[in-house]
Amino acid sequence: MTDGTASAYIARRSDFCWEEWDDRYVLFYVPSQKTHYLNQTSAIALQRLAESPYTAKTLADALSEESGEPLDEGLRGSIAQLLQHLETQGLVVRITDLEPGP
Amino acid sequence: MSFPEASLLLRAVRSPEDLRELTNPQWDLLLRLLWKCRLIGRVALSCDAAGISGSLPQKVQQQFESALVLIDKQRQMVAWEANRVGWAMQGLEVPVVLLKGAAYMLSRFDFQRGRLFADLDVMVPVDDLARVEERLKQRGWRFTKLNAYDERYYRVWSHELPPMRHFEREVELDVHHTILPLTSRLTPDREKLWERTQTLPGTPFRTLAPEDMVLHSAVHLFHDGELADAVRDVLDLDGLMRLFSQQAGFWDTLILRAGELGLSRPLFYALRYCDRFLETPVPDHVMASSQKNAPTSPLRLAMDAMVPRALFPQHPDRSNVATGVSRWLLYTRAHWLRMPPSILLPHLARKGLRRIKGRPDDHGN
Amino acid sequence: MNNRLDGLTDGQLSQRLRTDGLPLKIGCFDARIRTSGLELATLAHSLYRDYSLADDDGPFDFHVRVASPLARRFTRPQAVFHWDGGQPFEPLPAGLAFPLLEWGINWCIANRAHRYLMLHSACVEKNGDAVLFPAWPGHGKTTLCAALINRGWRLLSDEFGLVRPEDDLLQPLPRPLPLKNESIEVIRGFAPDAYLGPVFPKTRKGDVAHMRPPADSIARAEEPAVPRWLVFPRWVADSPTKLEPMPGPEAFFMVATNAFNYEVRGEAGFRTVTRLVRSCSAYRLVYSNLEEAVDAINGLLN
Repeated sequence: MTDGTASAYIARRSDFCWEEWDDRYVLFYVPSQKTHYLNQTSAIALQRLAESPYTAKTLADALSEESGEPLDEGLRGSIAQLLQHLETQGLVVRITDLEPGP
Repeated sequence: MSFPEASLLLRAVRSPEDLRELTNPQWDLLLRLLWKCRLIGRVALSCDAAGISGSLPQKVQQQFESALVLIDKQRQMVAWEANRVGWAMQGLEVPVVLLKGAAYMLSRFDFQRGRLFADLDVMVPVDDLARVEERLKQRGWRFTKLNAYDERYYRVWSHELPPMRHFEREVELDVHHTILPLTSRLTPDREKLWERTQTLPGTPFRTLAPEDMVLHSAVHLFHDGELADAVRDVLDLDGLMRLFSQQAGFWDTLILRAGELGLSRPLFYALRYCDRFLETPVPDHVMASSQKNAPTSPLRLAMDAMVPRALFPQHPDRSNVATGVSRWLLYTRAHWLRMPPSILLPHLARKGLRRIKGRPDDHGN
Repeated sequence: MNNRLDGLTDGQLSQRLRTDGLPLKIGCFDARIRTSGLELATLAHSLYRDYSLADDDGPFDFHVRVASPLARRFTRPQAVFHWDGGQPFEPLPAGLAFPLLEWGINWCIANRAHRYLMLHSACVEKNGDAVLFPAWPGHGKTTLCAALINRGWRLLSDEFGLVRPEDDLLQPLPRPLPLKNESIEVIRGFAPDAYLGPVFPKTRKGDVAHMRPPADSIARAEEPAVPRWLVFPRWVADSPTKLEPMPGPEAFFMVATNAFNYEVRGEAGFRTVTRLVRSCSAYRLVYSNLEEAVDAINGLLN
């Protein structure tokens, strides 16, 4: 896998069916037909990504601002990991991937 | 056609509006046949299109509904598998051709609506095969469990990698590097196939040229695969030919192309049986020209006698010796065509044993 | 007019099983059952007594057959389950032909009836309202279900929660209840009047005896029920009876993972489970004493 730290990611809102109970989320992802059980951070991250593109850095900034959690290496690291996981599951795509290949 | 099961099936496929006339016992048999040869989705959708679904017996409507749920699901899973293969291949710069069902589905061909399939078949250039295999393994695909004999068969003689499956998913992925086994009597030039592949808009994939799709389907049916209950594959051929015949020059290119690739014989069979069973509108001059590639008459007569018995499902409650023999002969023939005798005989001995052991309904009453 | 199975004599029943097949209404499904080389008429008579016969002409949902292969009939007789030419299971000793037939029919339903969301769940009804007991095998749903239907609840099913796509109501599917191992004696003690068939020893699930469903539950098999409660039972030895509310996402997960075809139904499955979890009250039930568990479930009605 190429280094994705600088890449931007995006999700397609129409592919998601969300259900929410307090701070727990169940997501049905239409293209993969898979059900995901998410915590609040992952759910908010994914909902943000369905609105506009984020890199690992801008997403960490946004989530820190929203939750009040300090923006440290720990948060940055887990956001980068989360993005990679979401990409493997096909829930987000890297924007460079949307552009036509050479 | 002399088999009541075959004529019932063909009637359902060709003129769904006739289905309103069926009696309950006829429906009972037809539903079983449709499940068996995986045509239930297609017939369910053509009843919808003909506007008669609501007037069919309730049991029929409910089975159609259940079948369509299952078929939609499997189609979505194959489409997703294709999406994931596309993702996995990013950056490799290897062209990937979708074959068979997935190609028809992602090309949105009309005739394939309701078609059931569970595997994803792709073709990559033989020189890139090792890199593709490596990348797929990195991204979570594994070879499905094979015994040593099967593994060796795939590696040495086959035209595809052993079947793979992603560890999180169900769909089988078959990665081909040509359209027929390396040992086959027919050896279409794969460079020629690649030359005419086309991009598939909106996807990272390519497809075969229209004529090559028809030829691949014909080869697969008459030279490579098993004919048993394969009436669905004849419907694919019919659907492809009806669709492409709207393009100017299709038929003449088809004949030429078959000659170029050395696939005139399978094309002969495809035209003959599509015309016979489905009245595919093949122009007279194409039919006449294809006759030149007919086998000699003893073989042709034998094929005419056996093919329908194999293609159409038997009555599920009755086993028929003639059908069993026809299927066995055609199975052996397909292998004869794909392997030299030195490989074939041991191979058949192994497979034959398994088939005999695994044969359903060999204790019929 | 009596089109119930008990209108046939043992001889007629045996004849039908061996020739054209027995057309049987199993809830909303019509099956045609045949046997060859095996005699199941007496068992079928006692356990299927109250079922109706289906229309001889079909169309049927399933054609099934249990056969004893001729080649081994005199040495080590076996029973093989056939479904339209396919054999989904390994053969069993001929003595287990009836449990094999019962499993086989469930297998056919689970593999075909995808118009329903099929939960792996027992369900019972009172006053039109239903309790669902989704559970993994071995958690005691069949035992609890057998107890409740001997205390005034109607049997919908001990195995399948069939949710109808058109109205989210539960479609009954009353079938003989396969009681396993200790449950057999527990139910004999709990409900001495219940009819239990013979004990089949040493099946792959241990000893099995089938309880005949109440005639009233079979007669009302076309009457759907409204799902009101999701109760996830678990039998734990010597445990006091505990009935605790379960949070929504957990109930969702439990329902979805205890379904036969949640994945197959895709987005529709997701939506149905969501509606079910939102419209039902969900509880976790831990019990060891069956009377207390029944009291706890009765308490839900108030």
